[in-house]
Amino acid sequence: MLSPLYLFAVALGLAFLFGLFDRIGRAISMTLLYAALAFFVLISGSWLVHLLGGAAPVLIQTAGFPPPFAIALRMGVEEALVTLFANVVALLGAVYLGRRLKSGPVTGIVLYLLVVMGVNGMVLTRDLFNLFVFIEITSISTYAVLGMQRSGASLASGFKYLMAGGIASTLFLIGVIYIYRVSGTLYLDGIIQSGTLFAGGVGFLAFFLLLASILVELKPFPANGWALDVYQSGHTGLAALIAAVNSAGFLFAFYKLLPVLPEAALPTLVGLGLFTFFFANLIGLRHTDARRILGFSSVAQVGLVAAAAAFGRLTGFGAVVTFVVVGGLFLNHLVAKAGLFWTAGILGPKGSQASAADSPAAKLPAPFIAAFGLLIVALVGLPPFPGFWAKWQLVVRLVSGGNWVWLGMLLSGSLFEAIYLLRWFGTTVAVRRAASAAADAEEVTRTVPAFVPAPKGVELDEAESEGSPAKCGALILGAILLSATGAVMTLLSGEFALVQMLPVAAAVALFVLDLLPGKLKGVLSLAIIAAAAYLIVPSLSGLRWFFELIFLVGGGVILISSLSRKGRQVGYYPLATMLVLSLGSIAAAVTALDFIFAWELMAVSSYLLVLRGDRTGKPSLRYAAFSIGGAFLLMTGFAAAAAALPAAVREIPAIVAAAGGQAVAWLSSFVSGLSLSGLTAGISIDGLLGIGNAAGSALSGAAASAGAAPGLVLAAMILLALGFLMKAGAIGVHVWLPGAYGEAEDDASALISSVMSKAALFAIMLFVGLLGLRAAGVTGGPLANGALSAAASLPEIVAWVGILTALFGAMMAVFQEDVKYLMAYSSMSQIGYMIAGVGMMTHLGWTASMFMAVNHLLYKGMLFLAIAGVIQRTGTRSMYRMGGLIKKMPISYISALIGIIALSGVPPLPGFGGKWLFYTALLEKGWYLMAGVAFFTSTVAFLYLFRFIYTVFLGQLKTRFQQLKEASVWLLIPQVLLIIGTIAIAAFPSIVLTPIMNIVSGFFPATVRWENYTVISTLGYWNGSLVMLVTMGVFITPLVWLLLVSRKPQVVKQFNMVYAGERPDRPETTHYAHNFFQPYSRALGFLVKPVFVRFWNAVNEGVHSIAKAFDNLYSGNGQTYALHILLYVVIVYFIMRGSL
Amino acid sequence: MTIVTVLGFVLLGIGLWGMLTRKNLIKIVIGFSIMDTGVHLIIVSVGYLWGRTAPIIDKAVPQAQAASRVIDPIPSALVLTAIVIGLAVTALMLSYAVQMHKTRGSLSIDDFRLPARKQGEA
Repeated sequence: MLSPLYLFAVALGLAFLFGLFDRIGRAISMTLLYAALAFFVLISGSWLVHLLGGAAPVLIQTAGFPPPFAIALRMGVEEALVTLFANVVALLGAVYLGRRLKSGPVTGIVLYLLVVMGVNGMVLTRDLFNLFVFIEITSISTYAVLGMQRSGASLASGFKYLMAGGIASTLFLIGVIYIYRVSGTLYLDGIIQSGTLFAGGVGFLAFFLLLASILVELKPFPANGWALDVYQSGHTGLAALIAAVNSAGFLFAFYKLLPVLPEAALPTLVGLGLFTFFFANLIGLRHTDARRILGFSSVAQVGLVAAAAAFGRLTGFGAVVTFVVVGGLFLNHLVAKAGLFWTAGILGPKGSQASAADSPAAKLPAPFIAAFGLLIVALVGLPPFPGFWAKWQLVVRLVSGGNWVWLGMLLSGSLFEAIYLLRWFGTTVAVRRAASAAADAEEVTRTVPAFVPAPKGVELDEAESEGSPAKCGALILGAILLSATGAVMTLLSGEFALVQMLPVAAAVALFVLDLLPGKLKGVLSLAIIAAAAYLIVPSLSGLRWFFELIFLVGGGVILISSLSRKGRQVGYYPLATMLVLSLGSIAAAVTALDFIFAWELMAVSSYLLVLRGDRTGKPSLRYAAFSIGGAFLLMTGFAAAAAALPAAVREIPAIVAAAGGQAVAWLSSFVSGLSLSGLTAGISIDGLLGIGNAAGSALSGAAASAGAAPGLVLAAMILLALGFLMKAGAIGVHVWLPGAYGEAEDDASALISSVMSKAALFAIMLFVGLLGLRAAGVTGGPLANGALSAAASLPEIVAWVGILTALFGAMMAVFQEDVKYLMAYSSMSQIGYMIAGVGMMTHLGWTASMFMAVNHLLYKGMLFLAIAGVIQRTGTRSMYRMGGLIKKMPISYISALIGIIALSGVPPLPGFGGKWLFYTALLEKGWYLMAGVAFFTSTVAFLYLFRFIYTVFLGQLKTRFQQLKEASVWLLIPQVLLIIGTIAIAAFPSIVLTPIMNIVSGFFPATVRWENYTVISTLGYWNGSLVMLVTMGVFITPLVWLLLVSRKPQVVKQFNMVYAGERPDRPETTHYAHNFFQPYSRALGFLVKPVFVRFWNAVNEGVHSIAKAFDNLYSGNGQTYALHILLYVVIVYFIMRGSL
Repeated sequence: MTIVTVLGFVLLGIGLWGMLTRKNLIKIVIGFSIMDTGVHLIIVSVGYLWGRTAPIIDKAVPQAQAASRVIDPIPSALVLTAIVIGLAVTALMLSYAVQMHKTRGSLSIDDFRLPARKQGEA
């Protein structure tokens, strides 16, 4: 193996020789820089392979003496891994900075190389004073390279950095000399082994000063104002270097020092790290400047990694867990942060704030945006990236350790971070779309050339910031590197079953094929979904089978509509396919981790789909915030369930064994002695719910009383219920729903509203219904306890939430002008019924709920697709601008008509059956008040449905719509399929009801039975086929009669009407369809006041003003920042001293 | 605790006070320099042992008696490195001060609150 010492020899040698080579030509210097960095990568990479292959870590002696007589460097797996990533990112960063390094003085090249060398040294050295030297080499080179920029802001921030660094070095030096005095050595392992450092008070103070110096360099809140200014005003290439590569060195130094500390000091460090994570992200919310938010995010992430490292030391993570948690968070930050700083640079000094006209975002290629999105998704901690696996493992451990405060800081900080990062991404995408739309429009009309204002007030010298291919290339390579790391973590976490990986694999494949024409990609997507359905559906049974059919078949049918799209549709098919397949994975999930993984994939893909709509800045952000917040509740809930019901936990090794373990076997061929023990995050869902297997049945017996904690079971159930109700858009947490359903592209709305909404229903059935059933089952046993009986009554609360959701959803639908918002609220209302059905916890209730789910899939698909066609043709979403479309779009009209008949629950269509089952179930249960509310809600539904069909299809045809054509055939095909399905179910309800009832019989004793075509309940009976026949008869007989008797029907012409002689102030008020239900609004409008929107806005405001208060700490004055550092060190000293 | 150590800490305090209170960039640099000198004194004082000689093994100090007759050479070696590094940092700070004066025509640190001030209004 190449000795790592060559790394220093090469860097220092070249540093002196660069001046000489540069005389020959800059090309030579640049080549040498790249070669040197590639050589660094080679050294650390080859060591990593060597060490993973089973070699023991090596202690490299310098000067021919063993330590402590000479400096020793250590090369172990951790060192190799960290230096490898740091060097790769440094190499990519050099590519990003290429043009700048090329045009500036040669010192820039020298300094860049020295920074990287210094970081490598910080990672490798085991000598404390040598650590100081490498810190100073890194820092001084960084100061110097920052000082090469001549702008006021970057110089000012560089000076603040120098002051902070100066104070940190002073602390380090005093610490190091007293450590030497107390322990007689500076060799780290010697200090750790002797363990006598803390015998007297001086030793602790000395070590604390040294640690404090590293802490300050890790930029803790609130002693980090200088760092934020550097991140904001330094060149983005340098900010990336500092945030990623330099931080790698300091974090590793921190990691190295942890073993010296006694265990009692560690909680302070965990707390400090999470404190920084929480507050940095909180304040980040207030900012919109891309670099400033990246600065806050960097500070936060470094704090998180430090906290995770200290927590790992505290609770004794094994090697694999350390890799997944600490390594995962760290590598995620390293690559994503560097990449995002480059992104900010490519997007220009104004970042996302640029107005549409002069934004470079419009000119950037799709892979750039994809890489941007990938890095954001990774940094937010969504799957399949390392941050996700790390966060999951960390959450499980925090919950099982009962560290609720830390958990709260972790999750709320993560949520804040997600919000401001996604806001940046969303704005950029919106700007890009607007700019390209403007460019298209310009091309068509050939009007005056667009005025492009010169970038003014650009003090930061990055005026030439448009994305060169090299810059974008560096970014894309970074994204690929991160994805590969994510893939390894995915394998380690046991998520390699086909069904779990399919969504990601399909999305990647379709994205690679993005150059193909749109229609071809559409067909490919459908083929993939069909193949998935063919493979997965037969392997499932019960609820999973039922919902898998809804997701894959329903999703596939609705996706046919996307073939009406024109052009290449970059990015649409990968996302839509990923959404449908991730829904499939949710239904097929075996462990809680599978479930969360698929759930978050669904959240990501649907968020990105919503983001593709036209006016989706705020709605998509709101959707993302609720999705991610909900997912955090779920993570915590699952972790709590696992901690409360220990019998249900399955270790990942067991899953690996069950799945054949090929992936792990493959990994093992690189890593000798790979053991996954310790990754105990695979909570079997069936075990948790007590379905079938031994783990479940054991719970009601001895195992339960031994391990289960009733309070924790209740907490788990509440968290899970809240998380899923958020996704269902239940009243109170519904504020994201109308925007997300309404503002997505029209056919995507159909997919999201009719198919995706069932995911929440499925989850509520499993984790509220069945878990509640289980809690109820345990109540009578040795665990008879208040908490458990509360858990058992949770479903009733959920049922009330469902009914109220149904009521208020319908009320709000009544007053919408926008047809898509009307349908969105209608979906909310219908899902409310289904949730209430689940909450009844009876055979009939569940049957009704599942039957309504099938119906809703069919009719809401029809309605949304019919609307998609109408919007496509009329170009508006306001209903009063439509009207009279029945003659122009007859098939869409029929589809809409059947849709509303099915929805309203009028015979003969299956909506009636659903309602009948639902009311019967409510009455059977004895919940009369709820039944009353449900009846009232159904009446309200008539109002909005009538408004919809009347104002869109009936009434007056607008003159400008005289030439309108029927919707695209690709939109009509799925509608016809759905109509056929609806009619078939109407005529023969048993084809759907029998399997549903059989499934439900597994959980509840049946109270209804079949006799031929009749369902008989305790309260009455329903023969769907007969109702169909009777209704047909009732309608057809008068029709035939009328045709026979009316010889000369007068056809009413369009303008055959009477004016009332009034002149309205606003044109739309002449339209009867505008403000259609104004009288009702006067009577009942108070019920639909946006109280919850106001509530969440107030929460938002509150959080922002707290953030503002803390943000005021950052005065911009270097001396204030220096004072913060001093105070921070003093306070932390007393906290840590006190904890010992 | 020798008088040199005490003096070192006093200098450190003076330097730090200067860094935190003086508005002039050059004075801040001088403050840093004083603080750094204080640290160097502390390091040297820790290694120095009263009544011993320089750690050079020759005729005056035979190898066998070295351990009992010379001072600890490690802190002296460390302080040399620390001095060099302190020099580099001081030089950089001064060159920053010069460049900052060129951009704004001022040496007052109050004129260099960018970019946080600008951001605060957002």
